[in-house]
Amino acid sequence: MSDLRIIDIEKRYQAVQPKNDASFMLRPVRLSIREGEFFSLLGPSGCGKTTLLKLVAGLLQADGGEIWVGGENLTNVPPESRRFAMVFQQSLLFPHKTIEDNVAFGLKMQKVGKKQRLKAARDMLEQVGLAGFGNRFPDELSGGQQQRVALARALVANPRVLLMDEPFSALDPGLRKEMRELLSRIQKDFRVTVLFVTHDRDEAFALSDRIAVMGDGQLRQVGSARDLYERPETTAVASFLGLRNILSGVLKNSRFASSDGTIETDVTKQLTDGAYFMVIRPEAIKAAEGNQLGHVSVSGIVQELKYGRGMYSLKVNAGNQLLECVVTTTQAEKTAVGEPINLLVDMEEVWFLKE
Amino acid sequence: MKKHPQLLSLFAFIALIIFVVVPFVPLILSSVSFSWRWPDVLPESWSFRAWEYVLNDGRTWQAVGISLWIALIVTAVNILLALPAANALVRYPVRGRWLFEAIIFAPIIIPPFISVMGIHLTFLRLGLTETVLGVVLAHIAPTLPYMFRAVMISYQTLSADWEDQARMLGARALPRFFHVVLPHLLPGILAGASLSVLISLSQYLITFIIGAGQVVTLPILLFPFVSGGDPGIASAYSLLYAAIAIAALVGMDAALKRYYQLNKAPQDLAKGGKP
Amino acid sequence: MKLYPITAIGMLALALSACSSEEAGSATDADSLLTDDWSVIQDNAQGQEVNMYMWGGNDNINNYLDDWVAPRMKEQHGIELVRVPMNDAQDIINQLLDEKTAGKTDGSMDIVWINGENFKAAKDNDLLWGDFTGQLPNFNDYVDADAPEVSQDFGEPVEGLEAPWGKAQFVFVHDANQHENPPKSMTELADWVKQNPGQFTYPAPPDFTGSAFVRQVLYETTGGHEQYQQPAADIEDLEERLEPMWQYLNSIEPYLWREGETYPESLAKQDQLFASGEIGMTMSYDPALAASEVLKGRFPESTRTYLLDGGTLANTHFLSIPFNASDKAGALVAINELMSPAAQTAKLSPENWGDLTALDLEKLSPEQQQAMNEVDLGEATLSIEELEQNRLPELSSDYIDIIEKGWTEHVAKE
Repeated sequence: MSDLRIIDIEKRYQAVQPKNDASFMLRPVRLSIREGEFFSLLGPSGCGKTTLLKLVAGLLQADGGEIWVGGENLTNVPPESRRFAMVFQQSLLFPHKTIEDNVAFGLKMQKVGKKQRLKAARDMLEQVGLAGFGNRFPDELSGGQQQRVALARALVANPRVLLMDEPFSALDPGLRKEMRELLSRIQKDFRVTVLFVTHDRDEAFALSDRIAVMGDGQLRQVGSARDLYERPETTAVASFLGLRNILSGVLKNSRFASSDGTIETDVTKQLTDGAYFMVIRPEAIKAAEGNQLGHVSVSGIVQELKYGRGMYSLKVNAGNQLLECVVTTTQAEKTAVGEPINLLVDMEEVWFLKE
Repeated sequence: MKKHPQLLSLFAFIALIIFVVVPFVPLILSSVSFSWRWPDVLPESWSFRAWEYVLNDGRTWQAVGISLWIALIVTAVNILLALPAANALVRYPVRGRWLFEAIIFAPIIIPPFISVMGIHLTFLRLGLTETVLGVVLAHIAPTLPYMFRAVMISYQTLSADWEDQARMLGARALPRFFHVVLPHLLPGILAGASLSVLISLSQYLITFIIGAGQVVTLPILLFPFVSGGDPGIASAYSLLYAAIAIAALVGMDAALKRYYQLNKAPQDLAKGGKP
Repeated sequence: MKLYPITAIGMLALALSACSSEEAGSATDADSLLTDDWSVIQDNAQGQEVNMYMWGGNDNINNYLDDWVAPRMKEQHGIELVRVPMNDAQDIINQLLDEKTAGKTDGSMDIVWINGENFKAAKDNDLLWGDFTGQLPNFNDYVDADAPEVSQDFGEPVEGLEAPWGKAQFVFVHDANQHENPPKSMTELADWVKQNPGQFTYPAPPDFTGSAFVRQVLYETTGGHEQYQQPAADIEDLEERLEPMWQYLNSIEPYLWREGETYPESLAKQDQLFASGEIGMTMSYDPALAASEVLKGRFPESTRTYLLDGGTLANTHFLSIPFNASDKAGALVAINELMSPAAQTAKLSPENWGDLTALDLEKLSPEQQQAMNEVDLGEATLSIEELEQNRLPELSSDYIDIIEKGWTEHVAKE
């Protein structure tokens, strides 16, 4: 068992400030990442995810807490001795060294013989699809190729943990997808533990076993992609994950009434009375007339109609509430901006958040 | 399209002649002229008196050796001082950093005469006058700012990520410096070293006051002839001085090229083939 | 930055290189050398390295020291004579002043070549060793110690602190092919300047030669040199007495080179103007300089020197020993040798230097006299006799200060 355990790691701002809570760059974080797991830190820029990554790497000095791998306390071990590897947003290939020498650099630092390390480097280059590029220099490679080399260089010395700081964000979208697939495959082949930082929800969802959503210097929620999306614990997590249909209201005697009066419906879930947010995923809404069992009907005016990848996304003004939903092309063709529309919300798919 | 680069290189060549070669012509003529009087364009006759004096004097070659030796040590010391100083000032949030920079850059603005007069007494008491060591220390003041500036700019363009990357690959401080930092700084260091060597070679006043006649560099021999009005010998010394300076620069440039060749050995050709 | 080992090696190398240039000097009971027998001094001098600090801007002088004097010094006295080139004798004084302040006792200047203002400054600040000339056999045998040009240096009593090495005299230089009858007095010069506008100028004081020219004007326009043999402070109406001199200089100014708007900043610049034919006359405080410039091909063959009918300024230049010289015995022997008839005869030759002897010709043996007279001074140089008969004494430096400042005020600014 070589799990990566992050125990109450914290980081404060360096600036001298009166002692108050606002001085935290990162509030104490506790996380346990299993060996071979692909774990992402997801959040908007400035949320502290890169800080956490660098704390794990040892490139930043923590103001408290510990880092363990298996039974080994690495808190006071300098980064060069942690046997972690890191891939940055830029490939950071050493420009005066060949691709081969770049990849072999980590082994060279471990004093592995020249022949052996060059062979390992070549094998690794083959893994990332760059066989035969070994004798070139970094500036002769495209951006995507360079990032592949960076990945090869990080993996060649068999790191205990691979840290990645938005490694694909500088690439164009097509290339990004290709790189994700490559990374996914290699991660499984090498069974390496990955701690991956990104602000891109789709990227995190596509790659990760588990995701930690971060905001304002703290962990908001940890879980699988589906957990997070279908059962967000706060409105902040929900809205960061793209869930816009959030209606505040009051639940009383198994009946929920939104405060603006748009929706009033029975709730079958076992919930105590109180103030709630009702989170409706766009997929839980369909455009249809009449009424259906387990659904609640909402009528409104179409405000926006946008085509995207085989489906239309629709914004409907219902009372004071703007609801987003997804409809098929045929359904979309029946309506237009400014026309009234009737929506059905599947109450099975609705998620209630206690305020 | 094809004519264009040729035309450009022709202009470059002409500019080179005008700005680099032409200024040397009067020096060369004056160093070998005998009875060169206005309004003659060329000297009436020739004489190698000046060159005989300059080249036969054993002191000339001794002075060349000492000049280069001092320039070399000064530059080496400058590199050792500028690297950590620039590193600290660029990388760490030093309090009052403008003050440190001001101190380092001050010798460029303050006339060397003033500072040298000040340190002369101190050096006398420490027994540093009339020694190569004293002259080297005194030369550091006017040369270090240039070295420091060059290295600092190089450091500013080196993101800390590079070193972080090397750390994450297991590199300790020394390998980090030699594999990542030094190759990046090298062009800057060379630029600084060139200036340092040239400025050290050209110091008259500082060398004269601190060396007190016992450390004889080329300018020490040259100056009395410039002010004493012997244009022939002054020209010959100036030409020799220029030759030494150029040789030093070319030598350093060759050393850098060699360094890059050693590091990029067989691929250079393949690289040169690419547009 | 873990560079300490490299730094340490660098510093070590520096320290080693510094050690090698360190000098082992002993100034122990040096003062007894002022009374010791000459043979004791000679014994002490054996093997010493004597540094001679002197202006280094003339290849003839340098070669005379390096090629003529130094080998003989080594051969005959076992002394290593090292010439140290200086840009200006003023620097020697500044250096010694600092060394005195810092209490440096093992100085490396053993002989210094000075006179005039620099001697006065050195004397006033106790930078010189002591009354040593009486110890030198050649001084005792061949020099007239009572002659004013030997006992005084620009009005300052020498008191044995420096030994005469050579003499200089102010001469005018012209091209005989251009102007057959050069002006022989200041009145004639004023006429000549008006007839040949743009052909005359003089280096701006405080240039040494330019300043001497102004003093020459002073003597001729204010009624002779005798009145100035007392300290300047004792003459109450000095301002008024100097007035005719300023008037004279201002009256010729519009007819000078560039209409007197600027003056050459140095004699070197003035000589360049003469060499290139831009001006018709130059001047020198070295009567043999013109001859040696002809030999170097800078001045035309037809260059000649001449004196004013009323005589010209003359001075003596001296060799002295600083208070902290490390090799005083060697310095004594070297100075004695530089004053020998043989060395002085060689020095007289324009091929070597062309500097007038400091020795009294009458004290020399007939053979020695003959050797001196046989030296070919070159056509451009006047005979020793003619020069000797037209010497005027120099002013003391308090006058020189007043005149140099006055020139800026009365002539340059107007």
